[in-house]
Amino acid sequence: MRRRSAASHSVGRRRFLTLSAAGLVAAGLPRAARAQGKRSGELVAGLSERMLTLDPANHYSISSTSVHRHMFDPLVDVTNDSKFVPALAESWRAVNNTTWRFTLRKGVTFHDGTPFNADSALFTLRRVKDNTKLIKSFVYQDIESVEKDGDYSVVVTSNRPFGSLPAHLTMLGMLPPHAAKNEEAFFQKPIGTGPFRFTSWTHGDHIVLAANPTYWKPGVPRVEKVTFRFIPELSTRAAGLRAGEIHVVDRVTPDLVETLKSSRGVKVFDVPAVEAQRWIFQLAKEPVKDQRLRQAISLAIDRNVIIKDLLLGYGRPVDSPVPPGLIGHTSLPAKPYDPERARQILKQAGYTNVSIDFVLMKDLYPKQLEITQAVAAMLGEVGIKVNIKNLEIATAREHRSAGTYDMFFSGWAHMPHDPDWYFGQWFTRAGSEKLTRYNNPRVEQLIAEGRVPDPKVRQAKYEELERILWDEEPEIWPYYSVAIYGVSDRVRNFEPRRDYYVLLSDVAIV
Amino acid sequence: MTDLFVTDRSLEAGPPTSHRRPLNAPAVIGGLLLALTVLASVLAPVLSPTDPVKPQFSRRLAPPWGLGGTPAHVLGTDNLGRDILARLLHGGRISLALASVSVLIAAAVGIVVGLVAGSGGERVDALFMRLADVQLALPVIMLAIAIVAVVGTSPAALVGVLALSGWVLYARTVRANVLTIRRLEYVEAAYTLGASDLRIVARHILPNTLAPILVIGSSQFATMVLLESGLSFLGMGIQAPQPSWGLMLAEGRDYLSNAWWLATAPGMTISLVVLGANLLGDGLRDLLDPRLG
Repeated sequence: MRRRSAASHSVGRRRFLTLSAAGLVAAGLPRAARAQGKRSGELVAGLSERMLTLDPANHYSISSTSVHRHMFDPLVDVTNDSKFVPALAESWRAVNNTTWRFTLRKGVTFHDGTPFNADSALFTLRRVKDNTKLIKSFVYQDIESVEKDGDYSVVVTSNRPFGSLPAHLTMLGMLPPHAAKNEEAFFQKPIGTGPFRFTSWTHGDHIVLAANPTYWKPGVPRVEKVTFRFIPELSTRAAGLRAGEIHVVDRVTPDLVETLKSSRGVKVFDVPAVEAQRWIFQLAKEPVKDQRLRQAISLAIDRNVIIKDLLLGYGRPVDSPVPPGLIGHTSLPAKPYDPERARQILKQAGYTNVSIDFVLMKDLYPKQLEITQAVAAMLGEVGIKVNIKNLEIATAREHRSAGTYDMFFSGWAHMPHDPDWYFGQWFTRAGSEKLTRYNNPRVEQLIAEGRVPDPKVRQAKYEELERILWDEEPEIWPYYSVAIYGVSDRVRNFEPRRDYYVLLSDVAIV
Repeated sequence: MTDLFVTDRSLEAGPPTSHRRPLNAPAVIGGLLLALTVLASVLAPVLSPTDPVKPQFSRRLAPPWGLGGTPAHVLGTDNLGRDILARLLHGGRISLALASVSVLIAAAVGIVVGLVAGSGGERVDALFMRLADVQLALPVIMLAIAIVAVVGTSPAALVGVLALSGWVLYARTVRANVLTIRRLEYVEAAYTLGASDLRIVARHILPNTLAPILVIGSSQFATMVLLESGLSFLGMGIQAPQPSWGLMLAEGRDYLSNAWWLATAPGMTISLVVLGANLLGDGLRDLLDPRLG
């Protein structure tokens, strides 16, 4: 643990110095000079996951969200500490529990000169609600109507409270209404209001973006050109970084940190991610539907060993199902490691020779096979036999929807920085139907009540429902993940994001 | 592969003659290499220093002895602190057992099919040989993916896949031999004397095909070890935490830049066993092929 805290301190100090230096420089210069003088150079980022589409409404991929954020602006932005801040919407407020009102920014144009106004927001929102083929469509099905009130104001009403709407809008880039004419052609060469313009995309390999000189935010972007290369193999990304061909890489694993740190010209940034690792139980299946067995499993797992010895400190102990920083996070008593008590519970409940299947989606999460083997050994100590099934992702998902597993290595990155989606997906009857078969009417009611816009109400409801989950243990939350990035020391002002996004609009290179 | 076939000319002399040739160096070296690995694997429970499956987190990624490590872990430890030598030895049990069993099954099936096809008339022959063509046309890995998707991963399924990939070679060789031998004078003489089909196959045909089968078997053993490792590497074979050479290789891949011994040790072992089996196969061929020497 010492190693990790040392690392994060050094990063914090470095970031602080960078920021204060930038602030000092900024204070002494007129705005225009700052904006002009700083735009130069080219940034190359290596992302772990391939981008599959240029349509911001048709994916939930983290890499794609990163890339799209440079071309498209959403209505709402989210900061690294999960605060929602204006982007294309200057302000918003909940008129009542089922109505949101957004006031839009004036004087913004799309890359082709089309002005951004309420019609763009109307088009984008109605499109994602009405075209149910779009992957993000299901989130917006609660919307009843999207109307404009003047040219720069939009009113969204929903048929039930939709408090997480601003959070979801952080992931929905605004489109010009003329995209409707021929969507297929539009998304070959898309246009947004973002800090970069689309230049070219070689499928599965890389995308090139060029600075938008008329971007509405002064001083942004700070480079002429950004290239995102898609490189799933970590060792290849790391080699590119060490060779200086790539300036930023995401998804570095703990074992590689020391190697990168000792490479000349490379810095390593780490930050607690908005992601809780989770091992879900199949709650309709013997024997893990028995809460006593789940409790015994939980007691038999030494989470500290996993965090300290396997993740080398790049993980944090869990104190609530929702990671810190998000609405609903609360501090609950840590889950103890007590194999003796686990054996007792198993004995009292009459479990002998328990054997469970632990299914993994092959190569999806860093170090998952290693961690699962450690867990198998820990459970073996209390007399539970674990059969590890490391399967192709599609096959593993089939097992998950068929319910033919006992434990399943699943994660959850809170991409919208709001837990409503997580709760609705995993702890309502409809949401978990093809996943864990979770069913608790009280929890379902609390999730529904937690959908209102009032953050105080939401926090109270979520705290109550998390206490229920903490006792029921429908899943094990072994650790909160840590996001690790490798960055060239030529890069200035890089912010390691907690949501795994690689955002380069404010980043410069020397 | 045609040089493995016993040709007409060689058989015109009649039943195998017994002029002995001295053992050649490749066969001896290959045989020794194989014998050593098999022996080490059989004795794994005695030889291996620690439990091959139980993690020891405090000893993670210890380098091999002499390269910064200790004699307690001669080949170092892996990402969960398990002794690599122990895992190699136990993994050898699994890898070698799977390879031998599948070679035996493939040979048994292949010999029977070859004998039936060669002596059972044109239609039977055509049926089996087309079946063999179909089998040869399917890439093994693709077949393995399909089978694993249906029946799941288990050692039995793995043996099935391996055996399925191997029987054709035996069937074709045996069939070719049967077709030739059937027309030889001493076989026809036996027919004339009233010997039954079964007797002719057992007494005259089978003994004459054993040499090429031995050769194929030993070189195929190498292929099977490689294939088993390949499938386990891809996650379609042995499942963690059980050790298998291919799986160890796969787990070590992520550590190449900071702990090279994880992948190197199983990689070297696979190479040595494959080399041994191939040397033995070559040596046997030199020894048994009447055309040579």
